[in-house]
Parts: sequence; C-alpha cells; structure tokens
Amino acid sequence: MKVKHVRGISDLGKKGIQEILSLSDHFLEVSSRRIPKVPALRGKTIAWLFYEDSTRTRLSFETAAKRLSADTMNFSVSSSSVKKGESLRDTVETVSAMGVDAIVVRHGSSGVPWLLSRWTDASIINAGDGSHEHPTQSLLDCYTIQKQFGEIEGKKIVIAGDIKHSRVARSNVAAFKAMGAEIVLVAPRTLLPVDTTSWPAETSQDFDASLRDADVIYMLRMQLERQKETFVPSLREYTNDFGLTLERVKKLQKHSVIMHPGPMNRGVEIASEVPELENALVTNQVSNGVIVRMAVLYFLLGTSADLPEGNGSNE
Amino acid sequence: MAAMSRIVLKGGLILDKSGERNADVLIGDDGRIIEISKGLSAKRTINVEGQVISAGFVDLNAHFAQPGNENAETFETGTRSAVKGGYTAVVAMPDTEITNDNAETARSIKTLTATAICHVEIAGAITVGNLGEQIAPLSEMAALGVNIFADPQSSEKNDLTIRRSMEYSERLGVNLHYGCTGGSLALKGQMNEGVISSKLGLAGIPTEDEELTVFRLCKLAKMTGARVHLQQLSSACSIQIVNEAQSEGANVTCEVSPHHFALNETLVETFDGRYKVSPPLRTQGNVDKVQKMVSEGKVDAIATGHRPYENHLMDYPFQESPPGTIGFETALGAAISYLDLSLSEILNLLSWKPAEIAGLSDSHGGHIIPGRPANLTVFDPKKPWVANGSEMASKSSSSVFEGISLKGLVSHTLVDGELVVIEGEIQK
Repeated sequence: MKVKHVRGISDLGKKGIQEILSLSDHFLEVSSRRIPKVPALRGKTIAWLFYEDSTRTRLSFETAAKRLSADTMNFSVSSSSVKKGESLRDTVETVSAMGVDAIVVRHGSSGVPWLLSRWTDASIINAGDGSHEHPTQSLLDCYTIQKQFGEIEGKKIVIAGDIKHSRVARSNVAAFKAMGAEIVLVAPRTLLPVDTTSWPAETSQDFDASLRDADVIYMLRMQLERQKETFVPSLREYTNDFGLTLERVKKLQKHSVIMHPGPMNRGVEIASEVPELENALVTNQVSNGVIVRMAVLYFLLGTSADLPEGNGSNE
Repeated sequence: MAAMSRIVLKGGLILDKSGERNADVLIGDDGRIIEISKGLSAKRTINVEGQVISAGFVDLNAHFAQPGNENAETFETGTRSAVKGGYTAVVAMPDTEITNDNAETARSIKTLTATAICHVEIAGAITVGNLGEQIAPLSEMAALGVNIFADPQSSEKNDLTIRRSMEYSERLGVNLHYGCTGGSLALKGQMNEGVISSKLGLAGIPTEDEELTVFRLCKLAKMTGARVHLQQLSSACSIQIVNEAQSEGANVTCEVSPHHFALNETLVETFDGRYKVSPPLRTQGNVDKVQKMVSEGKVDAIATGHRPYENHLMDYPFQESPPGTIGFETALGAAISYLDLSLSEILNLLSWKPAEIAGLSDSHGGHIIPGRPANLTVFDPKKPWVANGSEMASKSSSSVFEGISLKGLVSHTLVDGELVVIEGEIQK
C-alpha cells in the first residue's frame, strides 16, 4: 500500500493502520536493542513545522527520526503565521525549496496539512491541526490497545472529556472505528460536538453508566479556560460528574485500562493517583509513541530493502 | 435627430418592466435613449442579435476597500468588475478601513468615486465607527446626497441605539441597511454550524444567530416605521421572518447573495479560504429552501456582497483567512443557472427592485424608454461559461464560484450611454 501523506486517519484506512501497527512491532524490537538505531532513513530529510507549542509530540517525532538516522531540520515558527507576516504557502514553499522529504506540521487551524500538501511535493505528517485531527496519536493509541488486548475489534472504548475541541477524539473515533471498536463519547452537552449524527459513535452525558462495561477509558485533557468560556460552571463540578476519580476506577471491570494522551490535568479530568495504577497505560502510550512514529516515518519514506531485520518477540 | 445619435443596439430583445419586444435602441450624444423601434441606424452599430437588452443591474451591497485598503480593491478596479458583470450602479458599504461615518470622509470618498466607471452610491455608517454606540451625523451626510446608511454587522449592536437611529433618520427620508451577522452565537465562528463544522473541528455559526437578529430588526422596523433593508440573508427562516414582518406592515425589504442560493457548506471541506464567506455557506437543505423562496418572489433583491481581499490572504489557514468573495461577474450567471425564474423575474431582482430600494429609479432599473439615461446591459442568457477568478476584473480573484459552470454572460454594458463593455471587454 503506497500512501503519500498522513494528514488524517482517512489517508490510511484500516489497511494502512494495520500496516503501521505491524511495522511498529519491528521498531519495538529495534528500540529494545542496546543501540536502538537503524539506518533505515539515512539520507532522508524531515522538517518540523510547529506553529503551536508542543514538547511531547515534537520530542517523540525527533526521537523517532533520530533512531531511523534521518536528517532533521527545525523551521522555527511561532504563533499565527499572519502575525509573522508570511503566508503559510510562502513558508512551506521555502521549506520545500531546501529539499525535504517530509514535513511534520502542527498548527492551530483545522486543515493546514491538507493545504500544505497542495503546495509541496514532500510527504505531510499531521502532528495536530486545530480541533480537527491528530492521527499519529491515534495510531499509538491503537498500538497500545492492541498490545494490551491482542486486538481492538469488539472492544468498547469510552472517550470522555472535551470532545468538542479535541483533535485526538476526532482521529481516535475514525481510527478505533476502522479497527472495529465500539465507541462512546462522554461529555456534558456543551463539550460535545454540535452534530455527531454522522459519527460512528454513541454519545452519552452519563459517565458512570458508560463506564460499567467499558474496556478502555480514554480521558481527554480539560482545558482550564473552558470554565471562563461558560462551557462548564466550575472545574469542581466537572470533576465531580466527568472526572476519573478513584471511586469510579473501583467500579471498572477488572481488565479495563485507562488511557490519556497527555498532558494531564491531575485532579481535574483524572484523579492524581489514577495514572500510577497498574491498569493505567499512560507511560506505555508515551513509549509506544516513539515506536509508532518510527513506523509512520518509515511507512511514508522507507523502502522495503531498508526494513530492519526483526529478531524480537514477534518472531 | 438620427444624424446626432451615437450608438444603436441592433437586433436585440428588449426586456423591461413593460414586457419584451424586438427593437433597436438608439442612444444620443447626451447619453440618453432617443428612440426605440426597428431599422434604426447611428454612427456606431452594435449588433446584439439573439441577446437580451435590459436595464443595467444595481448592486445594493458591495465593498470596495477604498479608502484604506487599496491593495485589495479601488473604486476603479471594483467598478471595472461591476460593469463586466452588467452592473451600472453599485452601493458602496461604509465599513472600509477608514469608516464613512462623517461628512468630511463622505466628501473625500465622493471624490474618490470619480475614478469609478459606473455609478457609485456611497452608503454612510449608521453609527460612529460602526461601533453601535453613537449615531453618526446622518443629517450632515444626507446633505451631501448620501441616502443609504448601513451597518454591515448589526447583531451585536444595542437595541436602543438601533431604535434611536431608526427614529432619528425618519426626517431625512433615508434607507437603513443592516447586515445580520456577528452575534454572540457566532463567537469565533468559521463556517455554518452543523455536521461538517463538527467533523472539521471548526467553530460554527448557527443560522439562529442570523434569525434572531433579523427578528429583532424587523420588530424595531415595525415599531419605528423606519425604511429598513436587510442584507445577505442566508437562512430560509430569516426570509420567512421578513415576510411575516412585511405582512404585518413593517417597511422592510431583504436581499440574498447568489452563493447562498447556489452553493453549500461542503466546499469548506477543502479548507480553501475562498469558501469562507460571511454569512457562511449553509447546508444544501437550506440552499434548496432559499432557492425556492427566491423563486416564489419572497425576496426583494439579489445583491453580491462583493468583498475583495488581497489574493495572498487566501494562502493562509482557513481560520486565519478573512471572510469574503468577489461577486459582480457571477451574479447573472448564478441567478439564471440556479433559480427557477423567468428572465424578467431575474431582472426584477438584479435591477428593477434594487434600483427602487436604492432610490435610483430615475436613472436605473424599470423601463427602457426614450429620454432615460442609457444605463443598459446586454447579455446572452444561454451562453455557458466557467467562472475563473483570475480572469475577473477585480483586484481580487477569490471567487466562491471558481471552476463552476454557469449559464448567462454579459456582453455589453452602457453607463450613461457610454459603451464601457463591448463583447465582454472593458473599454477603459
């Protein structure tokens, strides 16, 4: 399967997701080596174009690129391109004129990866666009769930929190659905998207009821500003009704797992002790992030001849 | 008499308020129509066989970006595009970078309109700086001939100020035009609110934001008896609210823009800034209803809302690009292609009725008869063409109709008897 970009989950579909997940197993083995580095992308150049602050995603991508021996360059951009006085198109044309094979972009406005792909020949990887998509987060979440349960199909996944403003939720709904999961979105009405009739997911405003038979509880970050913007009366009330408290965790099924894309607001959407529990996969998500991003970069830029030999657990 | 005459339009079908007839139109040196009959001749003959001769179109809602943002448009470039689209008169909105909210500015802008190649009626702001706080010196501006005052974004404005300006303007006999966008329900809004905005993660603008404003303005118009015109209604329900107010005796008229009866919100899925307009493109269901209501005569005028921006601003992310589309050159084609109306009903919406609303009936719209200034448009209602913004005469090439096939194209335009467009080519 030849795919040029990973702008959204729709660029991949089920087949693409599966291919990346199985490539991830190869790179999991690579990452466990004493020197976790392979020459798979030697000679390839990847540019970072981060218009929004991002420490986690950025570091994860950089680590992935280094382990694949790719060259990287950072095009330093801050806040909105309008303020900077250079159009998005000018910026991306400048970057591609320097000769890059892929551009990893994060931007506060929906659709930027799609616009970029019209203006450059490089592969575009979306590291988050507005409230729209964050496909590599979803891929690492799929990988984490698959590692935990052996498969994603048939699992009931509850995504709870600020769905309305969440790019993670939008990509996850598409990815989890493609992999055959059952999805429930939980939030007060003000934080649900206005119209989800076309979404392959149920919605609920009753967190407790939806938790009973959930296999995965996926918590989203609650932005502190939402209180000022009148989405909720107070964070206290939000935590009370929609926070993953210890009491709620106690009522979960034994095999259920807890996930969060980070950064967490401890004490708001997730009780401070919860990420440390045995069934919380938050750190697995972070370490899988590097592996899956290696797989994504390799999937777009590599050739099968460069695929590192696997001699790890999956053989 | 015939020896003096300058131009004859030969072989066309004249279509005006009194009906249609095959006849030649003879135009004199003074720019007025001299005679209408068969077999006329003049110094210059324009063969318009197979085409329709109508009164020039009148646009009630256009933005020229001058003064202040001449990189986007000037009266000259904007009116070049207007005449190419068959317009002979346009109303210039006051929400320019330098707001037309006082007599001195109005005087300067009038001077600037000397570069225009069609008639420009300048609208003054209803409140100082369009801020909705203090009433602008309406009387001082009216004394300079300003007879339309507008607030292109009235949703957030205070009801009391709107009421007072409606009452105060009564003695001046002027029209008040209101855009119905920008309310608090539309906060940070980028596109129509619904399935697609939810999917794309873009903040939505619900139709209710417009409908509430339309309702408020209709109530205030009824209360004060003011002569009110509502701009660019994008929701079918808004039109219904206006119709109810009209039947209750409110002195209210309304306009729609071609893109709101032709195009739907799915275009935004491209994230292309050209599809960001205000009010936003709505659902196809709403588009169908608006189309039907326009076709049933429930709307008073078609206005373009022509709003040009510098082209490079379309190379920004959707959320950062400014809302607006150019519109003069696609209005006729869109009306013919998308509305289930006879040609005379379309001309009523593009020319006759807007000329009345703008108070230009003496020189525009209505009848094509000897003695009247020759503000005329000749077009082929069957001609197919494809909209291409970069071929349009505006400085901006951002057209929401880009790449769309339309039927009906203007070939000649005469402003006060002068041929400003011949065979689609601007003569100045």
